[in-house]
Amino acid sequence: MTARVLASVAPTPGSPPGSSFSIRRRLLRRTAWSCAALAIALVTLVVVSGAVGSVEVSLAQAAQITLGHLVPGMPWMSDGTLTPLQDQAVWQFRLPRTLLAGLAGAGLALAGALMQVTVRNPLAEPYILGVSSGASVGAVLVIVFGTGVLGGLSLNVAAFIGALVACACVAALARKDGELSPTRMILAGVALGTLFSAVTSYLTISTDAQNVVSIMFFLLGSVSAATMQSLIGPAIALVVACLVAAGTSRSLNALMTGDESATSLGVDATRLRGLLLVVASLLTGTVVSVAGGIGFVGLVVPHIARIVVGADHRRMLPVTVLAGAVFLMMADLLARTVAMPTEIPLGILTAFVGAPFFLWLMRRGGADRAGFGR
Amino acid sequence: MRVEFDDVSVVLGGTEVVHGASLTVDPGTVVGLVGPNGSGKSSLLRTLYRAVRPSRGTVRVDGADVRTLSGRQHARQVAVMLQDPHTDFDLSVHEVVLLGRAPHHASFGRDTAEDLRIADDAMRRTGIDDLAARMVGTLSGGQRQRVMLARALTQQSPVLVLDEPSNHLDIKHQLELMSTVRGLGRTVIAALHDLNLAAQYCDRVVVLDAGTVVADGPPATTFTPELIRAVFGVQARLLEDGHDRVLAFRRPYADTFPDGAVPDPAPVPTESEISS
Repeated sequence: MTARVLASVAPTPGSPPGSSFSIRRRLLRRTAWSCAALAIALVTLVVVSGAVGSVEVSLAQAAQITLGHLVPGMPWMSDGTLTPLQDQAVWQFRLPRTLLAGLAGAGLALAGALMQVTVRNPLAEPYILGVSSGASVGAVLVIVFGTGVLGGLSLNVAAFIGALVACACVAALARKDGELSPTRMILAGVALGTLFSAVTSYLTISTDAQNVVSIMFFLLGSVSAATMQSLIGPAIALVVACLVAAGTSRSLNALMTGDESATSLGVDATRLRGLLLVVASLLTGTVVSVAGGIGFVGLVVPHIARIVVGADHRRMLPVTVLAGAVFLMMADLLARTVAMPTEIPLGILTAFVGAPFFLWLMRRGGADRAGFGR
Repeated sequence: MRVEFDDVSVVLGGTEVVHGASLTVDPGTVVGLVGPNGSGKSSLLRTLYRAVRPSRGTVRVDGADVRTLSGRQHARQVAVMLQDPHTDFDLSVHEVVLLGRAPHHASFGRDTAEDLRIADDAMRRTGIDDLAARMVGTLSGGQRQRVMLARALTQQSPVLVLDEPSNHLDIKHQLELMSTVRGLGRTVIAALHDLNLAAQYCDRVVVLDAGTVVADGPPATTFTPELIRAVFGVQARLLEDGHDRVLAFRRPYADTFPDGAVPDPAPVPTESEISS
């Protein structure tokens, strides 16, 4: 024992790289590879989705149209090889909805990851604070009674306000003695969410039959109504949330090990939790108000990222954001192709494709890295 | 770095659990905080690492009130070896140990080669270098405690707080932990249950009873049978063989021998008897 202690007290300049170095390198490399692969998938999906639909557009033409709108002066935009119909189909319909799917997926996945560490619970998801049920009340009020009922607010704005009202209520209820307790947050969110859902259900059951389909589409989520303008809100929210996440990722790791532990590492747990709550709620609110209550992405994508690269937020957050975007873009591509010409709500596709994939991943050995072994 | 508790009181859930405790820890000394369950040891320590705010009094590190420092400034001065990390989302041993570098960095940015070297050194000192890749959630209680010590060492703070650091450790690792901590030359304040461990490794012991400091001094003169009887409610006997002094405990004689017939203690063998 004495020898060991003496040896360990002695300084070890230029200590040989231990096993921890190679493990770290492996995970960093895996993160880089995952991000690169996801980025390629992202670009590929944008092009492919531009070529899929009732108006015939080839892959090359889809790429040409997309590039032509982004870079001025491309020859093929004016030489007559592309019809106006093709241009309209790609630029005004297919691209906005693919991009909205990507933004929504990235946003919900990031919000889910932030919520999971905020309440330190693997079951947390972006809607845990009643955001989606609050948004649903706003949206359903407009669908059922028309925009007049809320003073001329559009469906999107009504949904956004509903989302914010819900999570403000949850935060206020969960706050006690200046602290936001994770357990109180979850319980308040579940209770209030149930209350809001009851309102939505009552409105749905008592309205005309023609409204029910619109309501179901909102509740299950859809990006079919996307326009370039509808991308602005989610895009800004996503950029802000990514900056906050990058700036706090080391503190998030500390928060993951407990409040007292975070405090002892110099992280103000209550303040960080408040910040994350605001960021994740705004992000979720903006996404839900334009794309509806798309489920599953926010819960599962962060777990997939942890399985692949581990729980360190500096690695898992970039993978989460990219994987969320790719996952939902892929789901939307399927949503509008498998039952052409009708569309399947996105929420159904995410669950139908995502659940089996996730369960398969969970059963594999590597899942222990995400803490599934207990 | 000097640590001072000045007339500190702590209220938890409406009950005052520490009543105006004062004590000073000199730079570079190891001080043991002992006392029965619920005597306020942990609560007093928690005021030092800012997990609770004292209802009265101040805690100073190097002359400065701990409440006036920023979280990161404070974490660079005071490291805590906590009981157990949360493991709902599991990190590897190496990642948890590296968290000790968090107070030294802005929140983003990579770990530097220096960070990795410090973490590796701490893992070697605590004998967990072979566990680096393991998930903390898969470790035993004692292994986790050593991970938490390595994390605290990685913080490289002049003051180290240990809250019952050895309760899951086997006897060898208890001794190694205390001797590692002693060898650091830092200011150490540790809540301990094992009075013999405290006596062996602490320069000074402070005895808390029902939230009040009742004794403070070198272990040899502080841990008297009278004090132990009064504070812990057990009978203590000091056994010496010329090398070690150990306290042996038993339930109060009145409980063990209800009829009052207390037998004479067995004679303690002398050193020459042992060696023969």
